[in-house]
Amino acid sequence: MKIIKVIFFSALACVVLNYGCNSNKVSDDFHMEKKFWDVADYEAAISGIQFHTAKEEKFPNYSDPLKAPIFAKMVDINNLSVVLEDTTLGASHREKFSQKMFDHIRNIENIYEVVDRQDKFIYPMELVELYRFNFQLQLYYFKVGNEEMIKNAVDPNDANTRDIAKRNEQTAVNNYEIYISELRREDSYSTDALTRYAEVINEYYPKLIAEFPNANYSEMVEKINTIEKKLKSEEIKKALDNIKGIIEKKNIEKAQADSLLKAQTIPVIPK
Amino acid sequence: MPAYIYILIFFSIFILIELITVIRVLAKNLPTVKRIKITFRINLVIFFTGLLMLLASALFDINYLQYEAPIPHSEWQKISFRDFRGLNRPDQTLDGMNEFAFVVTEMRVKEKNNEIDVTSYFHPSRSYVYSDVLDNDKLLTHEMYHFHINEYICRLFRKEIADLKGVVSIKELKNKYLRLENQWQRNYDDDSYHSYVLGKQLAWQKKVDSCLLATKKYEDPIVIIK
Repeated sequence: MKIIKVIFFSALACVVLNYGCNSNKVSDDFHMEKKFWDVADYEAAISGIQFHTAKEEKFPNYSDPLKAPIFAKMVDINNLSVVLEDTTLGASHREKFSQKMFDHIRNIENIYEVVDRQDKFIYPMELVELYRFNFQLQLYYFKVGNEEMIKNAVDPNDANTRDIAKRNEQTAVNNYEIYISELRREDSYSTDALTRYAEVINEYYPKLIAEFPNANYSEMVEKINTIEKKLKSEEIKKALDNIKGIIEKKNIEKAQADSLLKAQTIPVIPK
Repeated sequence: MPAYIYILIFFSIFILIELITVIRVLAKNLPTVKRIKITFRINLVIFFTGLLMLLASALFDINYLQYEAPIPHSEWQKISFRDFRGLNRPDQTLDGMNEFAFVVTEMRVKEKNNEIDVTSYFHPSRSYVYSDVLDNDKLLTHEMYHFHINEYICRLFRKEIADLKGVVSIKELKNKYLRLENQWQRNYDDDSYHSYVLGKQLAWQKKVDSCLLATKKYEDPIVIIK
């Protein structure tokens, strides 16, 4: 009887100490205990989603209370800002970090772009949040990339360096344009996702224009004009009109500044 | 709470139940000798197992096998990761990270006649490092600043003692500064995220350095009570 009691209590202790807290545990691929995820954490998360998610299981998404925090962690912009806004870190380190993060986030977007039999995205809201994360990353990526290039240039003001910097900025604008083209798949998004998409456009496209004011936005405006004809969502149309308005205002201001500059440089010929 | 405390509680409860059972049996008719022997043997096994587990658990709290006396703050510059002698707990990480260390510091207060000794100590046998690279300067710097924060709080304590007028409970004062220290240490780790956020780490280093400089007058651990 006593031996049975010993075995019982030992087993109880084992259960309480070792296994009591481990039910409903998320996979070890997702480092949820970390405050910030770095490149290695994203690699582990992608591996977890791609290779360790059972067929009948869904990827981390907002509808699953257990896995929602994983997705929230994945799109937490603090993971980026903590490195990319820290000017005590070297430009080269930040540039490498942003390059790797860029690759990872494109991977994750590809993973989440799955559609159902009706060609509707299975994870529409999650996709929009991934786009938002990508927009922020791109702002950092091209800014830090240019900083690194200028820092390493023999003459930061020479024509070649300035030209490369300008092309980098244009690449950022072209990348953002892709997400306007993405709206051609409007019907694949849920209504809530489209509302959120509009909010993200209103948040990030003005930031892009403010960050790279000298880039050429004419193609973006053209793209907006084309796609607006097809769109049904009033919120998205309103958001795109807002962006067009900002671009047009910027162009007017630039034209005024240019003409003022021209007027000041025209030599006054004395009579 | 350290692991050995849990083990101690578990075995104490179990042994207590056994003791109560034996006392009840003895109070009634005496059982056969064989039953007494079996009961005694079981309890002996449990007792010695518990004792061994207690000793093993205690080892992870303070490495008494490689014991090194606590180092006062005045000698902080000689500390390296080789002085972090605490035992690594198996499979344990800090928020999933393997490259980290844990430092144990103490504000030790001794009263003697009209003097109070407030010294900041680093405990080598209770501090441990998980990094495979013992030459990780950044990690060591982060841990040393935990020690510097402890020293700064000690200096504030010394200052208050030095400026004391009237009778005050030193124990209550110490508790007040311990709470302040906890707050500083937590904020330091939260802001710098264990030195991952380099900008915040450097800002804290600057802050603690200036605090130590501002309280340099109270560097001496001994304070004479007026």
